[in-house]
Amino acid sequence: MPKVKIDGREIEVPKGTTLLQAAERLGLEVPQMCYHPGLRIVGVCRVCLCQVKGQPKMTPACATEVAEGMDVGLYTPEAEKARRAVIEFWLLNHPLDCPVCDQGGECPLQDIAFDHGPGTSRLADPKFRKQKRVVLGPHVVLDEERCILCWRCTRFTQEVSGSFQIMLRERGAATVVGTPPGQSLDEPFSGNVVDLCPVGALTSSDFRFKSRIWEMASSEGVCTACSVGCNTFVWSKKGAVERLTARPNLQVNDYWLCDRGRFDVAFTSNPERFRTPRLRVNERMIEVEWEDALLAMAEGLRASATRGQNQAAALFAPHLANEEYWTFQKFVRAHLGSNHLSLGRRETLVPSRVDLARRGHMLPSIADLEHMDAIVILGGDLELTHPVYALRVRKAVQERGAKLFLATPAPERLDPVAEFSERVAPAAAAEWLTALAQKLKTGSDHPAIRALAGAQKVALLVNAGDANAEVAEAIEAFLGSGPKDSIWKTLVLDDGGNRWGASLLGISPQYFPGLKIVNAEEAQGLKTRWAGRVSAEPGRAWPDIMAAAEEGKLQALLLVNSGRPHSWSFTSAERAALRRIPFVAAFALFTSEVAEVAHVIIPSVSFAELDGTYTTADGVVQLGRRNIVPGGPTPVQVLYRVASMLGTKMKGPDPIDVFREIAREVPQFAGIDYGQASRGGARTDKALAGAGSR
Amino acid sequence: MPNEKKSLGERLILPELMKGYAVTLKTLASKPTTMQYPEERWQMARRYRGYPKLVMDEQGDPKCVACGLCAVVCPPNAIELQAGEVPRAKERQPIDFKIHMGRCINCGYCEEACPKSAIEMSKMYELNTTSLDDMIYTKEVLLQDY
Repeated sequence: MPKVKIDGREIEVPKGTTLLQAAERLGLEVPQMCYHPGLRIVGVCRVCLCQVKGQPKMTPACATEVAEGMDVGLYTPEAEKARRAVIEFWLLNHPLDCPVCDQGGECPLQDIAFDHGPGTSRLADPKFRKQKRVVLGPHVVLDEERCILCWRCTRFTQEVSGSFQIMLRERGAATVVGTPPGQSLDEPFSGNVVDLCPVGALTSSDFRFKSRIWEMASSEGVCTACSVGCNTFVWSKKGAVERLTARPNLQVNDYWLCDRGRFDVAFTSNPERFRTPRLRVNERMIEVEWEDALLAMAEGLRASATRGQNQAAALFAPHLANEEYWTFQKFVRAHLGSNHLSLGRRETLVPSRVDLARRGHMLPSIADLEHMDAIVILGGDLELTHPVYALRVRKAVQERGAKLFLATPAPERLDPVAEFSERVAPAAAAEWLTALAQKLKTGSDHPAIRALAGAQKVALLVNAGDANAEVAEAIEAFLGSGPKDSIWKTLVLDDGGNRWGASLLGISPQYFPGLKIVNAEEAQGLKTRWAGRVSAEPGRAWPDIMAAAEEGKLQALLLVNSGRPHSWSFTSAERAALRRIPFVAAFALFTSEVAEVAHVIIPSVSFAELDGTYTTADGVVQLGRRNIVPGGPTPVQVLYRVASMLGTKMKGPDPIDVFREIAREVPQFAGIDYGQASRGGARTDKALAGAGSR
Repeated sequence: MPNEKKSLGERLILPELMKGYAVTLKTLASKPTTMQYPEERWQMARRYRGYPKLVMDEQGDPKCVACGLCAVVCPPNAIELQAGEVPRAKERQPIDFKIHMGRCINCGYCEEACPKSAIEMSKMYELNTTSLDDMIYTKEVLLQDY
């Protein structure tokens, strides 16, 4: 390992480390602008120039690898002089409109110019004037004057998202960034260039001029738009979420967010969000006091809470927090004595996923994709369902040389980097995979398939919304067709922000929490532990719940949504069936979600108004912090009140207490606490997923 | 002073009374110093800090670009503003600007913080109203000449 001396301090670093990384390891602050850990190094901003003894000229610290015995001066007078000159060049044509600029307050150009700049300008001539408002795409607006040409945005579209939708035009001082002629920046990750831009040149059209940085409160959040579980910073002002920015987590989302998650925040302050509960009186929904709504809810549930079993049902949106799932399922199981818990219309792959996990077939973490020799994707377009996973796949292919095999129903943006891509209809997915496994065993003429057959490490991503037992069998066959001692793993992707967490926590008709099959023995155990009347009979899934409602067998129904708007998309027949249930209580963000069927509607909270953990598709539990104080009780608090009105005491409604109970009772969550969940996330089902491989 | 011993002249009262009349007589002829407020007003010193107001530019737009520095520097938190985009060269303007004059302590920090000289301390010091709400000055009022 080479030893270097930076400003008189020695450090030994691994070969291949850059001077910038070595200096940062020493705790030295290195001014930097174009350097970003998620992008390739170009060394164009020149502000990290340093002096290496024996070299006649200054060298950029970000682009220079350490060599044995280097003697580097980062803050020598010569280096500082060079840096001052670089900064003077930056500011030559920079408009210095900091009071107007959205970046003001979080701008490295401000900070660096203040710390290392000359303080004055010697430019006597007028500055270059450029376009102040160039609309690059649906989410991004460019101010050409402020750009200092660090190439971060161009590198992002070239290396990370692969859209090539930002490029540099013209030469010299007239250089501007822009989209190629006839194109606009409409890729699904365009918001990241706003995060990346170190100055205020690229601004988000949603956030432009809305707020200064210091006016907002920021907190660590987790995106629930899909099951990737991207880490975010939630920024709010006066009770409204103003923007989301990416929070780096190398195990989950790297440095990125997708536009779908990033820009879907307006609903939090939508004036149509209702804040007071509604009660149906004589077929009209009227606003009532909280107390009256809770009493009505307790009354409506009393019948099913006191006699009979399996007479109540609960339907859940797939993006609730773990704590909410746990509390609601416990309430329905222990107090309403019912196992009718459903996450939605779609048949889930849960049983087969459990089997796959038990046999150690699951990919331990999405970050492992980068170490794979080959990646096979079966089913829908990742960029539509799990956008940030598509970036991870692209990185594995482009930067790490993995071979990509696509079997998707429609052309997609990953096609150009794929070794092999074929259009496969969702219904034929199982068949296709079985055939591929067969070909891998018997040998094929196709060079790509031959290459796959010899690969040591293969990851199979199954992104099939309607995956069933047949697909699971095909997965099993495929994973078994690798060469000896190879590592072939799979990851089954769920839709919805927290579907896997919900499954682990027992939002399922066939499984108790911890994926324990519903039977008399387990039910007896829960009965004694929860002091409730847990049913030993498996519950009904969505279609059967609807059928039971149609037949008038259900006394009560809970529709539970919180975090973000949810469309239950009931068919007219289902709506008619639900209207036959004597009592329907709904938790919703907008009354329109459930107005036609519910008897009581309780306002629920947005993701920014709740402390809660979420489980990603690959099983990482992450904590999202509350940023805004909710205007009323959270759904969990409401449920505790209703339970106490029904004469049962549940343990305190604080999310942290609920999570402690989860960690105690659900084996997959054992040993996890809020501390771990907030520091990069903690892995669930360590035992099932085979933690040894990491 | 109750403990002080009074002189004979003072105890006789009459000479003191005469002294008083003498003063009255003397000033009766001179010009009065009492100002007939509100008909007459003080000419305020140049550096006098009254209540803040917003300044217009030559085009009649507020000079303010809604950078928010006045609001963040304001010790009693009397300023609240919301920026917005305008289709002009300046791009950014306050779409809402409120100062709670009842909270304002006339410290002049806002004027000092403003990078565009868009807010300044006026000479106005009269704040008597019949309702607290009237003390919240909106953008339109702040842009008036007072």
